Amino acid sequence: MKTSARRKGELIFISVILIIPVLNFLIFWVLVNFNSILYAFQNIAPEGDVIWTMKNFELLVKDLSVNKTLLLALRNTLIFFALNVLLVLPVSYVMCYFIYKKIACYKFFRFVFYLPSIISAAILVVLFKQIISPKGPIGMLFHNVNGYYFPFLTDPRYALKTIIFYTVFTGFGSNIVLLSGAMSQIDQSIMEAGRVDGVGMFRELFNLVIPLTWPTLSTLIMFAFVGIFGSSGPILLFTKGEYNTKTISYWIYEQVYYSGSYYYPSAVGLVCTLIGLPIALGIRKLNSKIIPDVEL
Amino acid sequence: MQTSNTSDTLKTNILKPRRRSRLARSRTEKIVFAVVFVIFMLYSLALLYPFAFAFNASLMENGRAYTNNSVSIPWPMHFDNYLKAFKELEIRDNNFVQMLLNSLWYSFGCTFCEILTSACTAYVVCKYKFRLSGLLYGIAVFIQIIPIYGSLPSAFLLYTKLGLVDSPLYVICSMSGFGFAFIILYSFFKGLSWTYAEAAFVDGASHFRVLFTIMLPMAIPAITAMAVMNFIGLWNDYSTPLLFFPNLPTLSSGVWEYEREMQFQANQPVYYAGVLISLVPILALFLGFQNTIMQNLATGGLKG
Repeated sequence: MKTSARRKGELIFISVILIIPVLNFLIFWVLVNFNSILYAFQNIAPEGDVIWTMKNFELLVKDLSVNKTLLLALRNTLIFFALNVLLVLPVSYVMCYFIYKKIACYKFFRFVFYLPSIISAAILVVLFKQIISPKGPIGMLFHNVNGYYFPFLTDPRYALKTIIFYTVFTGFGSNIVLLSGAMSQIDQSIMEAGRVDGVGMFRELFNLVIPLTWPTLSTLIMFAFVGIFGSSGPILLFTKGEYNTKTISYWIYEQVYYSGSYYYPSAVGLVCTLIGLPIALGIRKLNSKIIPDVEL
Repeated sequence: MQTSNTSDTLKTNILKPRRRSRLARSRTEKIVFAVVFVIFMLYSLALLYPFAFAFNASLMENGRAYTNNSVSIPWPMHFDNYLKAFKELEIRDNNFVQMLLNSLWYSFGCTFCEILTSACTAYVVCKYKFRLSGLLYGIAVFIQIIPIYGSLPSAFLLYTKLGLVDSPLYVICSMSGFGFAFIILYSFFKGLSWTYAEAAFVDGASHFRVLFTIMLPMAIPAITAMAVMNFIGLWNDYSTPLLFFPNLPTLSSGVWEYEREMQFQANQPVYYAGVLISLVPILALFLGFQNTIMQNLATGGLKG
């Protein structure tokens, strides 16, 4: 009797704690995503009624082949993704290694490198734009050297490159907290033993530090692949998608924010999800094969 | 005993210095570290330069920053621009203080709702055995690893229908409890001994009392680290406020909107002063909690 009453009290406690998060999840995750799938197959008829249609997907094929608007956005997205995985992540890992090895002023460097992640991109981009503007120091420098104001953000040939430069330049410190946390958990006796055995800096990095922090590193790589179609720079802040700088995630945002279009971007999102799903699951499977005990 | 002491002395006086010398950086390593130090210093200066530029410009007289003298040292220095920023910076009838308040309710409200619900949910799912616990944990992991794109239009329409657009009630969307914070806090509770709770139950404590007076206080370092990171992310978020509460601009979205207006009429030095003021709270927060964050946060869980 006492046990039953205790169990009842426990169930009431569990229900009270979980009711809000579960309801919230059902409304703001399940319902939102369920509606998103439905919207992919809907559109507004000329009479103003919502109709079921496959036209969103027809438009997507057209946009990819004829108009090439989305093809360009896809290309830009993949550029941001590749740079993140192939450049930003490896470089930030090496930077973290030197901070972990307590290079002179390492606390100062750790703070400064992480600054772009603490400060709003809106502020950083505004400052960056002012510096490269014709009235800013870099803009003036280019003017003095070349004799004309360099169109960093107003020429399709350079706009995306400028945004990529900014994104990479400010992105090196973004993983510093997670990677520093992982490196700080390495057992010092292993490192010291390696050193006593004559292991040099490069072997220490590749044969000790990387394997010992692989769970964190592989998780970051996995997250990069999971968000492959979400890869982007601060396009809205720089060009609002002009000068061939759109990415998939910005394009979807733009459709809602500026155009009030809901059905076509839902279809594009659905296709991206269907392509991204096997990629994410494949990477996760590969990841768990390499390091079976990795915990997300 | 004496042998042991001798051995210890040997370790301290003879072995340690030799070990130190073997652990010292080689010449090549010293060169590499020196080169990396120079690169790090140059990179740091490049990252800090925009703030020095903004500080310099913020002290100029109105109009001067528009000229080719934007990099010269201003004289006299107009520190009054920092006071003017509170009065002059305005986006759609929202002055600087109102934007600051909007940033506060958005960042603090969403962080409080998300972290509290995540901590409670993670605790219950981790420490109590019931039919749905495995399923709920699976859902939380599923959300993290499954990429879902294009749900923004659907979310916007739903939030509009629910009256959450342009309203501080938007914060209730954050009470999901199954996000990234759940995963981190679940790992923390997994490493936390249940004996504390058992002892409290024996003393007659209720489940709520154990949660709020024993378990959550023990998780404070982990909760603080998550909360600060969450708060910083929300404070800096500009795309959500622009879309979901355009008439309640935060400092982050307001700065960008004001920059667009600045091309036509705004007082640029005052604008830079406002930009720098808006950095103060978030920098203070990070500096105050950076050790807590660094010590507690690591992917794959938290140190228990």
